Amino acid sequence: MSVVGSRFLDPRILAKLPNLELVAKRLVQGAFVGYHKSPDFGYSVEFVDHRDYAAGDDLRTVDWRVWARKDKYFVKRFEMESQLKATVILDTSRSMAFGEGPLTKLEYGSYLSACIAYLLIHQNDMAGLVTFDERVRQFVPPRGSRGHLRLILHALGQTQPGPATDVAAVCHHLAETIKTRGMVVLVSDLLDEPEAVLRSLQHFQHKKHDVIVFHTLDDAELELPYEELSNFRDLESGRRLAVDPAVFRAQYRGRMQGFCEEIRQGCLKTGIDYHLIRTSQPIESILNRFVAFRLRRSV
Amino acid sequence: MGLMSAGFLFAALAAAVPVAIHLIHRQRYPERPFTTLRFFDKTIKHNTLQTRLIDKILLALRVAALLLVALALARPYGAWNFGEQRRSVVLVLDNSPSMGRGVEHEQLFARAKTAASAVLAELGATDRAALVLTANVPRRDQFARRSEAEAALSLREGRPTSLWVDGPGGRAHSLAELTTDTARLRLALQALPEDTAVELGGMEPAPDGELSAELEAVRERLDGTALSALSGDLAAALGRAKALLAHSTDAGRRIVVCSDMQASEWSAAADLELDGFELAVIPSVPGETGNNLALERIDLERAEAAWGQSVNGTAVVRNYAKRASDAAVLTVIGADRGRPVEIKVPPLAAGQTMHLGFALPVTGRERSMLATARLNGLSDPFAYDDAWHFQVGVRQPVSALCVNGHPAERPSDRETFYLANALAPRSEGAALEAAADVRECEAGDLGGQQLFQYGTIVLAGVSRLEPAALEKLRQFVNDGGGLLVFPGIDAVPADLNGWGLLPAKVLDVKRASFGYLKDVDTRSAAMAEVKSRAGAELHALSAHTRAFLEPNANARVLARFQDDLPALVEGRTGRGRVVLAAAGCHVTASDWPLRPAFVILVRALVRALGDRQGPLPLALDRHVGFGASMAIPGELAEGTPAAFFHTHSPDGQEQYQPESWLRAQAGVSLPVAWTDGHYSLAVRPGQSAGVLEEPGVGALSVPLSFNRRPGESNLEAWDTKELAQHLPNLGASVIDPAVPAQALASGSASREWGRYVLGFVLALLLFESFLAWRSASEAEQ
Repeated sequence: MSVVGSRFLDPRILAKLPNLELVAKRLVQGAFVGYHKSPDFGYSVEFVDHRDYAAGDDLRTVDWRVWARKDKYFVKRFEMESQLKATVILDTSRSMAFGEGPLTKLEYGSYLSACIAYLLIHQNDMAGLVTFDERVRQFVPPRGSRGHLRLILHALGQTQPGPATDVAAVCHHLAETIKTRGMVVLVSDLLDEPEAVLRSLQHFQHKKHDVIVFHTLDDAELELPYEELSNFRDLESGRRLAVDPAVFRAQYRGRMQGFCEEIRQGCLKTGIDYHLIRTSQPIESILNRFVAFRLRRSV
Repeated sequence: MGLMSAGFLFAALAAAVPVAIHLIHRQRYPERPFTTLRFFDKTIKHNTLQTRLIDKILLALRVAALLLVALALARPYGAWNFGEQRRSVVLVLDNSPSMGRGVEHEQLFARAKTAASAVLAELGATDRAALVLTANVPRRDQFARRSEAEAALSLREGRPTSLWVDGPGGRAHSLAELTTDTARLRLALQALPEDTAVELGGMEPAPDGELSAELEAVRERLDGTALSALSGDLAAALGRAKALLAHSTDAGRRIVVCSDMQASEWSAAADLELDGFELAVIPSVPGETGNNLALERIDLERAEAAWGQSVNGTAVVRNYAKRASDAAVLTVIGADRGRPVEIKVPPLAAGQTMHLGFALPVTGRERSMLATARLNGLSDPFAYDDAWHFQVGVRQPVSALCVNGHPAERPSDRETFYLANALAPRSEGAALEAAADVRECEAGDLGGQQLFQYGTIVLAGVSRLEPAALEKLRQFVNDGGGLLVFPGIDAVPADLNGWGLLPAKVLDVKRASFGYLKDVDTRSAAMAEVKSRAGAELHALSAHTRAFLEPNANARVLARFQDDLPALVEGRTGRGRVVLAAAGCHVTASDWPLRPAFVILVRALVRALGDRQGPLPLALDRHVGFGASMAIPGELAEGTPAAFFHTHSPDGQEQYQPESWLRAQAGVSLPVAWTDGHYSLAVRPGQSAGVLEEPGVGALSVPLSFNRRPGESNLEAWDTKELAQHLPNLGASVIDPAVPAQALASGSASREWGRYVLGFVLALLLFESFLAWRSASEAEQ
């Protein structure tokens, strides 16, 4: 896989770029230059049946030949072919505002969401966006137009860290809300009860969605690299706890790895595509995983 | 319960340091925003709480450690002392004379007793205490025979001992001052006849009580303790206290000394080891002692003087204070209505000694004149050494009757002319004092004289006497009178021998070759005086007309000529004495009257023959704390009351205060004179019952003068630093006199506290080390 332009994909450099669209464009083009012959994908419509015309229907869908024969208005119904509806669900809770590197998890997730939306729309798929914390904050339904991409990028640009998170409740709510089956891309640190999170993800699957989880964590969360005794403040609850990281590092790592492993195993069992990503990783590698997942689902 | 060094409680402020560090350190924890604390909650939160709890405990322990260190430095005592179940405390009370000083209207000794009482009050019901006094008490042992005293002396080997030999001549053999020179004492004893009664004196420690839990009894004994007139022996007292504690098995054993810290007493304890017993000293130091003049002693030029004459003396005054003394007045006064002599004592520099001469008129009708010298006119808080009591022998005038055997118109032709001049010079401004109250009469008038009013009768050139006169003369001699006979140039030996009074038979009186006086018998006190005063002039006494004498069997030859013929013969008749000269007292018979030695000779003989007072009674320089004794005739030994009378009071008034007395063998003794002053030991013949309330007329009495022992005047109190410097081996802790109960805050208790605190701190360090190790281990994992 070519990685031309990958120097632009380093999160430290991304952090200096002001325009999210530009970031997404560079990221996607940089990542997939030469991967496809043309970035434009065609689509076809297959006739299914007719139905009675109803007021408000688009006149272009009126079958005039049937009107000519039967003097009744019928509307032609078509089956949309190979156009994916993907919804990117981005966790914007306050815990996502954490980051010891150049990017916070929320910034990293925003870039990743923008890239996915850019990629999908430029593949003539439809992309939507949901941001949430303890409840849904923004909902952009999946669309495939270029203008819709700007809408998504604008929504991402307006994202602010919310209060606490409730991944499970929000996912259950979205599973019921998103009627059309499609792809659900969850970008979150999943700092909730693993069992509840897994059950909510299974809820998507139950609704026939393809689910891919980008478990976004900072290196500091995984490693707890601090040395001096500190008063740790929970970003969501505001609680404080004096902890000597040198003393408790090993226990913390074990608990964190156990948490991640539990999520991963749960996803593996239910067929959910799970990816643990670090905010220090180049986004191109993440996009590769997404494209691979997309291709697998297209076969 | 209290703190010895409460100032160290300020060290408790150090406990604020860990608290401050804790607070400051706590505030400096960096706040670190983090995604979630959920992974800390189950284990780390517990550990953090544990850590916080441990931090609190550590903080409390650190604060407690610092508080304990401060408390240990403050040296708690009393109920603070733990680990001691029962205490044994020996109170050593300094009751030496130096404690008699007055400071702010309170005696140091009273202060010391108050401090000791406070210590007793701090003791618990199970504690035990004992009281030891520093001042010794006198010990006197009387022995009827010399050999017994020698045996007892062997047992006193090395201990200060004095030797008293009573009676006439005893003064020469007595060793009044205490001495450890046993060889000297033994030689003095060996010079005495075997049947001589002697006394051996010395000092020994006062009896100590045993350690007793009956603290009230100890307190009563303490209250009843009086200031002693004897020097203190602190080292011996500490030794006895150590011996008392050595028999105790109690946990806390300590010695508490209440003393004025006199260097003279404490320095003797330099080599003392207390075997680990703790020593606390409660000083009764007066601070600035002010004036401290001491009348060291009185030296008299001679022991006796004639009545009406003056005796020259020297008072030795020393300033023992550390500053110049104020001007004072030395008053010397005879105790018997004498005229006081006042001498101004100029200010003396520190340590300066001054000798002040005085002439004391000798008066009184007694054989001895009691006198007291006293420093007056200055404020001296230590008045104990401002007085000195002494005696002067009073030589009462002898009344002499010179009987002339050759009546003549011209006075110079009278036989008594030179004699009377020698005894009582008649010239104006005569340098010599009158030796006697001289009267003259003719031989024929002798029978009409009242001879009992004379002490001595001198017969000058008398050869023949009327029978009545002779009989009166015999009666006079038999009654104790003295008779001196100078034969005339025409004396008839038969007449002289016919008197029956003379100590020698007169063989002949004739002109012969010159006879010079060769030697005299100095065993006679009179002749010893003549020889000492006349010297070589004695040999100038020559005579060309001499009486040749043959001494009687019981007679004594007082002087001889160069040809060994007797020149002076003395004999006893009845209770009187007679001296017969071999030369005349007029220039017609010899040139004796022309020689200065004649004056000396005649005076001595008239005085010796006419003195019916006998020798001076024994009047050794005696010191308080000892007694005195007097021998009494055998017929008075049984059933005769006897008493001592203290005739001195501090205000100078005479008073008769009966003292205890003791009869032993053929003598009576004053066991102990506890205060300085004049005493009178008296027995009254013929009384077999009752109490002798005063000496009175007819009593046989001996005046005695008691003075303090030297050594107490040199007041130099050590301070805490000097005590530690000079006596490092004692390890004494000096207690604040304002809080005497601190004396129970023993060093062992402080060390005990120190050990507990040290153990606590070490445990704390171990605990912290363990925590650090555990943290390091967890960090490695």
